[in-house]
Amino acid sequence: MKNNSMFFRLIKTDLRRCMKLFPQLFIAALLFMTAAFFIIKYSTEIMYENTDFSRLDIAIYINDDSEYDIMGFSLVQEMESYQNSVNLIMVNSEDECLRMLEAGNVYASIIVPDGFIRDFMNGTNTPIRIIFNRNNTFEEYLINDLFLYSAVPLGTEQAGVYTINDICVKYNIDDEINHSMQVQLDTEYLTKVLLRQELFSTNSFDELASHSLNETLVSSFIIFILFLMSFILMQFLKESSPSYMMQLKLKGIGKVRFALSKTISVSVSLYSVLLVILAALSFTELKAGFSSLIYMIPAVFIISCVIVIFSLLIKNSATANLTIFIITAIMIYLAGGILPIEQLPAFIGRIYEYNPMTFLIKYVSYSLYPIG
Amino acid sequence: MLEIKEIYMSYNKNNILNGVSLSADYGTCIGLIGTNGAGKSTLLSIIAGVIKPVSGDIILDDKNFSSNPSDLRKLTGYVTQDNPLIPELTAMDNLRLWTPYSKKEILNRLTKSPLSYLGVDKFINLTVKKMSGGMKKRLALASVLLNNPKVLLLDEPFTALDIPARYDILEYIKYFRENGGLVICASHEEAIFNFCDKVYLLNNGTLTDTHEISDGLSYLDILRKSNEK
Repeated sequence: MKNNSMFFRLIKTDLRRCMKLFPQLFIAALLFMTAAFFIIKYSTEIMYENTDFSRLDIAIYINDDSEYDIMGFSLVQEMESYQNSVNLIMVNSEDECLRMLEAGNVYASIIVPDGFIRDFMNGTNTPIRIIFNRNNTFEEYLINDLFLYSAVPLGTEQAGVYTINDICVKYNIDDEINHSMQVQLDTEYLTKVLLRQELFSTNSFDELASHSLNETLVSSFIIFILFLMSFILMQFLKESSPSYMMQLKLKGIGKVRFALSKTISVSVSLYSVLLVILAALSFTELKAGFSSLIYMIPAVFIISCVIVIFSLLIKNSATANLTIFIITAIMIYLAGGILPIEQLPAFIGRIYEYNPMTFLIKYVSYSLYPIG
Repeated sequence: MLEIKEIYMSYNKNNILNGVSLSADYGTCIGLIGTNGAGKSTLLSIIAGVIKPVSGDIILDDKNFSSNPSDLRKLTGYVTQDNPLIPELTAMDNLRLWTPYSKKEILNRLTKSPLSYLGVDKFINLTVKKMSGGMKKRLALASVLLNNPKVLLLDEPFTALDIPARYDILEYIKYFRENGGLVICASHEEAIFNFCDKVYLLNNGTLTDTHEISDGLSYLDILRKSNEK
């Protein structure tokens, strides 16, 4: 690469120019962070009219007190995923179940029909009734997901029972032996397979929602704040007179190296802002891990590239800032960064999958709050 | 020696330069006059190697740069009409961008060499946005001259300058010329006739020696006469 000396001098000068903006950047970042902190702190209350993420109370009524039903209920209660997220309250009647639901004492009621496990074993599908106290809440999605994940291992067991039955019928095996084999499979499955902690940990609550709402909000706000820094950095990005550009050209600096120098300087500035934000976060319960200092570098660089590209494509500073603000806000919203994607209209779910901001928020979330 | 032969240049099908030719020796000062939009800045940009002409040759010290005009950039110093300075930085920070020297070397050159004519060392730590027009022009000139160009190209060097600044810059131009440098200066100012060895009029894309138009005419008359052509 020719004229490296001039290129490094340009980077040094751009960094020097950015450093002059540090006081403004830090003050703005702290102001935005304070506002974001209060939003995050009270977000659960604002969105769910609830102040904490304690386990959800769910009433359960089992119509049949057969040994299998009770065993099934005990197993479900012991499952780690349920222990982490729901509190199953055993009630004595279907009416009591509904009364508790009406009174708002529980989020949902589960009514297990007469002979559910027996029917389950012999291949007759008698569905469990799950009644929610309101529609389309985040909790409903959560419980639905939880049951869906539980249904998978139970369905596997049912497939085993069907297979035994079909083989016995095909080879004219005695009904007694058929029944005995099915009981043995049920017992083995319920007592050994479902008790394996590995299986339950695979279906843990953490995997249903990788990061808590607050962690996702922190990630989204950090991305948003870094993009908003363009309002301050734009004066540095746009202040390049034609004679300045001509002198750079005379010194062998083309548009690519000019943009690269700007991107490096903006990246360093945004990283400094990030350090301030992380330092402020360390005083809260949402403090990020030390590894985030390294993992966040690519994210900061991507944000810087986007800001520099907008500054180069749009001539007017105010228009460039406004465009960055509007596009970022919309993309963060569509990526479920402000409200969980489950609470947004269904068509947004399709956009969510292809929205680059989804990946950026996830990347930042994993960088700040590593899982596993 | 600098030789410019049959330079043609056009923008959006408008011919700016129509076969411009001139030659100048080291140790001389050449003036370019002409109305706004006559192509003075374009001609200087071509000599500086910023833009490539449609056709024509630029020969400096018997080397033809027409195929690779960017090589000319190392030999020429171009002081544009508007300054290329960064407003929020100090004079020293600006000089450190445009020259490869350390702080110490820059200060040394500004105080001991003939560059002291420009008096930049007196406001070396002042930010550009706090400088007067004259200070900015001196600084812009210093940022070019610190790189020791063989050919100095000046585009409207006296615009918005007070008399002391004008005097100091003229003194330096004289020094530069007397020490073997070649100066090409584009200006609206009548003063150009006083310090240039030769003054050319750029009109309708062609270059004419003002002596050939009519010796003894005033600057205004020359411009009027050229417009009548």
